[in-house]
Amino acid sequence: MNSAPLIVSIGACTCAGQGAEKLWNAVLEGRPLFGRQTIFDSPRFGNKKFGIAPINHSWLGHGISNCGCILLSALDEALENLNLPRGANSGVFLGTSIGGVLDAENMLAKYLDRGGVPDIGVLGKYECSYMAEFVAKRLGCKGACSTFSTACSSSGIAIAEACEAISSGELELAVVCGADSLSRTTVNGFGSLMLLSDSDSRPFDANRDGINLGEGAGVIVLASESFAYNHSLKPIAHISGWGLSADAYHATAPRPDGDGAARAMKLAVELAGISPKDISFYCAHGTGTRGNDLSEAQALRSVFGDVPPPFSSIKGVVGHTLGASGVLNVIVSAFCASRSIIPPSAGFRTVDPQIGLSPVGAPIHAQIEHVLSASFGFGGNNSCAVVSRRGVRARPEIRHGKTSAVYVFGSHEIGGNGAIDASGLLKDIPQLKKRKWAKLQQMALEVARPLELSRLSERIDTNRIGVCWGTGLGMTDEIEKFLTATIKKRESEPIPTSFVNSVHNAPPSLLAMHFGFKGLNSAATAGEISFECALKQAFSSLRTGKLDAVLACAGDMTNKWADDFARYRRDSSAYPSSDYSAAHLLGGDLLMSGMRPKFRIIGVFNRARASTPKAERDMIAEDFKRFEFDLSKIDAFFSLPPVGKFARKFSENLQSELGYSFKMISPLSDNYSKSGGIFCAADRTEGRYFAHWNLSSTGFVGILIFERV
Amino acid sequence: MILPALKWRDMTGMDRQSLIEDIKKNVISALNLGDMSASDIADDAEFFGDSGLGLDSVDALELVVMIESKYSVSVDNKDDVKKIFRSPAALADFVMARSK
Repeated sequence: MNSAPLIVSIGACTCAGQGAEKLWNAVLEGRPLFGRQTIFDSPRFGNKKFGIAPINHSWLGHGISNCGCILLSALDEALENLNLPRGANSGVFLGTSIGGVLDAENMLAKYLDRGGVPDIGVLGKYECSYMAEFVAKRLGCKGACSTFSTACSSSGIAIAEACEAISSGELELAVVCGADSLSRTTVNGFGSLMLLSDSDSRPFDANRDGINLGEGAGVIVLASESFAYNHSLKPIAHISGWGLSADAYHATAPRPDGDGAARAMKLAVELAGISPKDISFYCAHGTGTRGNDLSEAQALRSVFGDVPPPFSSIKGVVGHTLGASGVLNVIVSAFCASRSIIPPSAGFRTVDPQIGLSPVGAPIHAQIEHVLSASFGFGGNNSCAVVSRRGVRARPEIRHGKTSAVYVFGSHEIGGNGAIDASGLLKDIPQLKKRKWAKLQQMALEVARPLELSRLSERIDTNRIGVCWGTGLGMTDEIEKFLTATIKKRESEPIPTSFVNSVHNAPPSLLAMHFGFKGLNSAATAGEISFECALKQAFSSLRTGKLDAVLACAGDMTNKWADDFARYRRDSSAYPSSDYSAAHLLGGDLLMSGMRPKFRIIGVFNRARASTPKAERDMIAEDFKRFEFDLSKIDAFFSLPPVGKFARKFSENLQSELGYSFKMISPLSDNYSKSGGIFCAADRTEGRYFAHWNLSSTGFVGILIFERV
Repeated sequence: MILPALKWRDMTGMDRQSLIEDIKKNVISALNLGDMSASDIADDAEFFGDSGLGLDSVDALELVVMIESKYSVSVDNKDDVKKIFRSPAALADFVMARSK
């Protein structure tokens, strides 16, 4: 069995400056580092304080967004002392809440102000996956390249997925990144929710009044034990457990009893093979909002009893870095474990009687074995990791939940033919109930309903049912609505509901709330192979016994800006785009009693495309061998119509190399989520063994092998 | 830039009852309450909680933005939100008091 992943290198860029060491020293000092922002004009929130990260301006000229520049600073540090051997089996995992949205905002502001021809090219930076792909190409990583966008828990999910890839043997090395920069979207969004502090944030304090948004990026390089040993890489610390859960409670507010957060903590501790009393320090999410800190304290009590371990939040120093906060907490936890110092929690002065707990006041020198690190996001999206000083024998599998195989029990798709009329969605649900659900959320629910998921909860523990959602562009309509109103009306009327709905994980968290699914809740984004990334996460959660059932789904919608950008970058042939969504019920042995499976999934993964069709063919054959499967057994090989001249040629040549002609899932590639229809297409096709190969327009592939049962 | 607060009475010449009706219409449109009309909502109908309209905290913030843009009245303290937005009548009283 594989060991726990080793943290072999780290890097950070925050308002404390460039360098993880600067972050650690600032946290030890416990002094807030907030000031005014001058990045964009902000009439309404100009008096608020933020954590501004230094920008390495040499990158800006290369078409990199602010967020990308901050990430590259952290990445350069992480790689500085690490001689990455070429040809290592490596991948990139990124967590970001909004990525390069600032550039899209600037473009929109210019366009709304002066009209003319919008600079469509910058929209490439809006896609959250672009930074991960940039990093993978820069480092020559040939393995998985996945981005997760679940608001403030984004990089927590990225860490968990990277740990899965290392502990399963899929990768030897994983570069895990978390990054977010300041934007009109987040400033006005959190501002309209009245969550921005008037001064410096005070996590867990009786008089806390909200967050300071902080810019930041963190990078951790994870390696398998054997790889680290063979290449003499010295571990800083180990990640010995990780746990993900959903509240299934509310779009923004955490469950007041902290139940969801507590389950993520317990899962991480269980996976590490330790018990709560072994935790020496809890690195809190601790945002400094009234709701979060109270709910987090309840979670601490329910896991640790009335005397929880020492705990601190770093957000009183560097602010809430959103998508970066999960990785930054793990970096601080790694320092804490390797240097035997528990850092203080800045901004705390008075005990809140409702909380009844005090965080650490001054640095404590102590021998530390295990740190529990947390990040929680909008939609009740929880992630935790156990960071350990020494390696433990990891148990990446939950043995009592183990299944012999992963099956697909049902599939459904909607749309795919132009725009869907929103008034025809969810007709039987009263307007009062669905009035706040955006169109893509309604599509996600509409497509999942025929799978009769409500019946699942009668037979299966809802804590062990997850939702894995893939989306290329996410909630484009809501972002557009929010930004247009914000910019046009000079910040006088930001729309809170549109901000809440603008996060990529708005559809899966609505599904979790509607069906009461409280297991892992994720939103993967990787252009045209977003669904494959989501399916992979669903598959590995089931295979390792972490869940009993997963709703694996995907969806994207037609949007004028997105279409203009697609024409600019890809090809004009497939546009305008369609609305499309697909959902599949996956499960293990437990679902077999009472339900008949349609397919068994043999393997699913994503990686960089090989340089030539011939090399790609050899790689596919290798991939199949990894799943003890022979390429020649395939009855039908699915794909999607390639977009652009290069992709068409590549696909044609690959088909002749493989000796198969691809069967098209859909006649048009007019939606990022079209590959979500794979099981529906296979249902209509003769044969027993199927494969699917999907090439994204940025040069990555998603591959799936499955069998009819 | 903060707009100077216009007094609602100066703008519209409305009395309290017309203001309540106006508030109801604006609530319906701001919260996308669809098929409801102003007459479906009682003056003292509870906005929050299961007995009334069943609105939640995000709706409340949506209403904060609404009264700011329609009546030039701002709410600065989050803790006051639930009190101010108890019912259409309570909201009207708040708007009137702030516009004096």
